[in-house]
Amino acid sequence: MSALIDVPRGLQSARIYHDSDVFETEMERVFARCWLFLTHENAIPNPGDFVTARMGMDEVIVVRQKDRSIKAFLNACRHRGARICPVEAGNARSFVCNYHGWSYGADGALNSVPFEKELYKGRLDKSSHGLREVAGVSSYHGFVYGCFDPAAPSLTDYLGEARWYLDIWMEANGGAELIGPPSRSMVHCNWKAPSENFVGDAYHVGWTHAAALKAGGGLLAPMSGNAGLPPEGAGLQVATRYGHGLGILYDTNPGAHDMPLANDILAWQAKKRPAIEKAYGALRARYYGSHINGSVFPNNTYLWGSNLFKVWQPHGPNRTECFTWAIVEQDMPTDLKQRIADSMHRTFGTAGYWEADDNDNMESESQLSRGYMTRQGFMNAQMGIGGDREDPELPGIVGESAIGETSYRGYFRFYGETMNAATWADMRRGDSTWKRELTEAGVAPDAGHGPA
Amino acid sequence: MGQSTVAASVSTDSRHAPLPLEFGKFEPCIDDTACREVERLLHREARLLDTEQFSEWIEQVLDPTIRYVVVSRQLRYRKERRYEAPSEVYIFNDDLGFLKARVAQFESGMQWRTDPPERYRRLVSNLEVFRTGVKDELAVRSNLLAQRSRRAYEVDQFVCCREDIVRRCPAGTMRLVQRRIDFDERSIAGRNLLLFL
Repeated sequence: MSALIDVPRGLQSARIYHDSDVFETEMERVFARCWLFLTHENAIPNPGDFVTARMGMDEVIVVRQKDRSIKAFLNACRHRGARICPVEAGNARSFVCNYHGWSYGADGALNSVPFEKELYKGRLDKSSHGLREVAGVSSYHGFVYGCFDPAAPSLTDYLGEARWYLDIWMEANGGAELIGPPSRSMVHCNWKAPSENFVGDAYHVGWTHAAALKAGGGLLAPMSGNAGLPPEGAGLQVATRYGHGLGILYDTNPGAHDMPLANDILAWQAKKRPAIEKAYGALRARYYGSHINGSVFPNNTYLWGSNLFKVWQPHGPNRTECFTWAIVEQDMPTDLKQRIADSMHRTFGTAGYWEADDNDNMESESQLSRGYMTRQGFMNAQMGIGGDREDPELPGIVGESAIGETSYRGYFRFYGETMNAATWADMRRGDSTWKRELTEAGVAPDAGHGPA
Repeated sequence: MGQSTVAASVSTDSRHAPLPLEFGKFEPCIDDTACREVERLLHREARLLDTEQFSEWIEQVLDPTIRYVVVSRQLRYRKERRYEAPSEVYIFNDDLGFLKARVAQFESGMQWRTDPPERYRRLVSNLEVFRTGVKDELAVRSNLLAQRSRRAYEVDQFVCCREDIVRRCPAGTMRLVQRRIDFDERSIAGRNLLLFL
C-alpha cells in the first residue's frame, strides 16, 4: 500500500478506487480504526431508544442506556451470527434474534436462551456471550461517533484542530441537530470519491452544477458555468490532523437554498450573530455566515450553509450507500427547520438536483478505474501545492484561496499514513511531521520517493 | 415558489404536504366516461414525461396548485409504539415553482449529465378512480413502473404507487392537483430518484 499516495507531489494512485486488496485493507486500517459517525443524540433521547448504523461493512446497534450513556454493539447474534435487529430505529427493552430466539438486553447482555436448561444443560456461559461492544462511543456536541480500536485517540483529540472550525456551527450557534430519518441511496462509486469531493472541492461547483446554479437561484448563482471566479480573499481551505479538512466560502451561508428561504435564514442569523461575535470574535462570527464544505475523515461530510450532513458507507470498491440528513440549528423554529430540511433534500437528497450532478462524476471516476491501463495512472490534487502554510491565527494547514486542493492533500496524506501503519502507535509518529510534509510538498518537484 | 393554496377536501401536514389518501373511505367511481378521462390524463402525462416535454407536462397536466410529494419511510417494527421520531423523509416536497425550477435546469442546456439523452419509459397500471365528495374532484390510485436507460450500461427501475387528486380546471380539462408517493424501496438502488414519478 506504500505506492498509493505521493504526498510531496500531491498525487494519488487510481488503484484506490478499484483494487479489492485496497478495499479490504481499508476495512481493517481505516474503518476498524478511525472514529465513524453513528447518530445524533436527539435521535435516541430515552433509555431503550436505538438506531442501527454501519461502521464500514459492519452493522451496529446504537442504544441509549438506562444511565443515559450510549453504547453500540455489533448487530449479530453470538450464536450463529444472524442479524438481531432488522429495523433502523425504535425503542426496545430487548433484541431477540429471529433465528433461534436468543434475547439480549439494551445493555448487550445475553438474557435468555430458549430451552437453555434442557438443551445446554448448564454448559452455556451466557455472561461471555453478550453482544460484541464497540470499543469507543463518544459524543461531540451531540453528534455520536464510534470507534472499534481502543488504542485510538479520544474523539476530542481525533477531531483535534478541526474542532475550532466545527464549533462555529456545532457550538457557537447554540448547537446543531439532525432532522431525520435520513434518505438512503446506493451510488455506484468508491466511498472516497464523494468524501474527497466534500473535503475540499470548490473548483467543480461552477461547472458541474452549472444548470442547478442557473435555474435554482440562490447566493451561489453567479458561479454558474464558470462565469465568474470567486474574488481573491473570498475563502479559505484547511487541512487538519487525521485527514479532516474543509473549505470556507465567505458570506454565502444559505448556499444552495432558494432565495425566499435564504432570506429567512439570513434574517435568523443576523439576530444571532452579534452574540456569536462577542463570544467567539469577528473572524469566527464571519464563518457562521459563510458556506463551509468539509469531511471528517474518513467518510462523514457536511455543508454548513446548504445544511447537509452525510455519511458515505462502503459496500464494495464500486458501491457506496449515501445517508443524508439535514443539519439545522437546535433553537430554530420548527417551521424553519422543516423548510430547510425540504430544501436540502431538494438540492442534495436522493432526488436533489445538485446531488445527481455530483454522483455522476463520482461514478465515472470510480468505474473507469476498472480499466487496467487507466488505473496505472495517478490522479492530480496539486492545485495550490507549495502555498500551503501554517497561520498564527488559524489552526491546521491553510490554503489561502477559495478554490484549491489543500484539504485533498491533507485527507490523502493521512489516508496513506493509516493504510501503511500497523497500529495507532505507528500513526502517532506522524503527529510531529504531518504539517511539515504538507507545507513542504511541491516546493521541490522531484522530492520524495513516490511513484513515477 | 410560495406556499400553494390547498383545497379543503385535502388534509395536509405542517409542511403543506398531503397526508395519505384513505381510499377505503371513498366511493368508487363507476362512471366509465370519468374513469377513461382520468386514464387518458395519466397516459398523456407518461408520454409527455417520456419524451422530455416537461413544459407541456406543466401546462397540460399540472394544476397551478400542484403539490408533488415523494416520501421515504424509515424501517420500523410493526408494533413500534414508544419511539416517536418522524418516520418519513421528504425526497420531494415541491409546489409549482420548484417543479418549474427543476424543469428549467433540464432546459438550461448546461445539464451535462443528461447529454447524451437519458431514455425513459413509464408504465401506468392498476388504475382505480374514486369520488372524494368534492364536485369535479376525483382520487386516483395507480401503480407506476418507470425505467431510466442512461449511457450504455445504466438501466434503473423505479416502482411505486401514486396517490393522486385530480380536479376539473376552469378550462374544462382534468388536472393533477396533488401526488403523494410513499416510495417502496428504502435505499434507492438506482442511484437517485431524480425523475418525475
